[in-house]
Amino acid sequence: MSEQDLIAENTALTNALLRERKARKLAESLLEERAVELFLANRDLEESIKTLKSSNLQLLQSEKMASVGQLAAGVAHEINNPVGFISSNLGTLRDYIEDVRQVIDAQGFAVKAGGECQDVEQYSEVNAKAIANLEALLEKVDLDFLMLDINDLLDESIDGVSRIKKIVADLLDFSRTNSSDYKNSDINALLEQALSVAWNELKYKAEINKDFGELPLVYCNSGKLAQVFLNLLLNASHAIEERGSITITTKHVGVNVRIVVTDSGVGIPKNILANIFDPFFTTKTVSEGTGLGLHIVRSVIDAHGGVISVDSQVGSGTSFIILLPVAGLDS
Amino acid sequence: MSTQQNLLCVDDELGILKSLVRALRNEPFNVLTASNSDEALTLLSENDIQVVLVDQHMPDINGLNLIKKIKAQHPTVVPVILSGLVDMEYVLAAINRGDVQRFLAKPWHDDELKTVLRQCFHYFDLAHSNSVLNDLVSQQKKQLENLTKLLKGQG
Repeated sequence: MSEQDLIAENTALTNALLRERKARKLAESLLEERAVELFLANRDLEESIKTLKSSNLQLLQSEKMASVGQLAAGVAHEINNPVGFISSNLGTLRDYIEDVRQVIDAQGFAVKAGGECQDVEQYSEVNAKAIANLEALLEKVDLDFLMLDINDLLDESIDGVSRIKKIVADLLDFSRTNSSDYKNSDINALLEQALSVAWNELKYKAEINKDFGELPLVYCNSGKLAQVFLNLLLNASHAIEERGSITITTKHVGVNVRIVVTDSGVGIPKNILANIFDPFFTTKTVSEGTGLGLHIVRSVIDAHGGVISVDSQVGSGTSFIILLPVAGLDS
Repeated sequence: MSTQQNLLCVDDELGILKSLVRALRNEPFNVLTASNSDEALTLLSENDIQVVLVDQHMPDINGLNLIKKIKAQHPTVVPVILSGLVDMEYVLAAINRGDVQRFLAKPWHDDELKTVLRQCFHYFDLAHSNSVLNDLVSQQKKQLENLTKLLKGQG
């Protein structure tokens, strides 16, 4: 090859090298840009996930507050009744004690009366007067009736206090949930708890039928399940227009526990049956329902490895069927 | 009034009925009790009851509706509603329509309970005397008219 050819080839190679280097630098910078974009996009995504998680938590909390709020009026009324009669009874008891005190005083007086008298005649006269006084007082006060009624009064009032204690305890139990609190629980007891919290609403609407089978302890989050049962009971009550019935059945079936809540309410039309578990789906007005209840119910059941299904007939009623594995999820 | 004064208390809660009977033990009126609308209506038909004290929140019927039923059969009965402060608008509307004579809140004060009930018995007596006197006036008016006719006939 001539010198000229060599120079030409060299130039061509150098140019190619330069072009290649330029292209590589461009590719590297593009890659770096892409990498930066990817990094930023990833960071935004993580932010969004955090926000979604916290709004989810808030929504769950507000749904729980909504159902507790719903019960507040009913619970206040339920507590008002025993407070009414207990306070009235205490006022009456104070009057009774005053009467008893007067009798004791009169008795004491009668025993000592005439003690200062010098002669027998005077003594018998004073004594007789004191006794007559006592007898009149006993008749006026009706001591026998009083003593019996004091027992009744105390029994009824103590009973009333126990009722108040139970209402408050049930409500606290219900509103207290620890999300990681899984333990072996008695499903029938949880249903009873949900029933007593909901009782103020249910008693005006429905006759309650319970068919509780013998159940093994189920590994579960008892607070969340109690909320699930409460939600189903309230829905059942709202479905009933004037008066009807709610039947709760539990049974140990194989590795599961089956819980069925049936109401004799208006029923759910076939065309919306598939949507009832959707978030924010509701047939109630804004002030009546958030539309999250059944969605939360289903997610809690899913979290337990269970299944929830619904059977409904417009005009006759609805049944919700829950299957919960006894050993919990991961069994 | 020489007839026995009777009060009927209607509440689904036995504890409330018993405490009411105790609180009113020294009052001049008898206290009868019923825990549902059937019992209430039966007692009203078997006894002369002037005043009824009715709980608003009962499972089988609400207090205001029971009072409507009672007034339909016994229009002179004086009704008092006993209610927790829950359905206030509904109850206040009934008071303003004149469907109930008085309202007592749950929980109640024994003194206020006695005062209100005594006022209701007094109201019943006044209304009753008023109607008796009105009848008497009508009767006397008729007699007067008849006598006038007679006199005119003879004159």
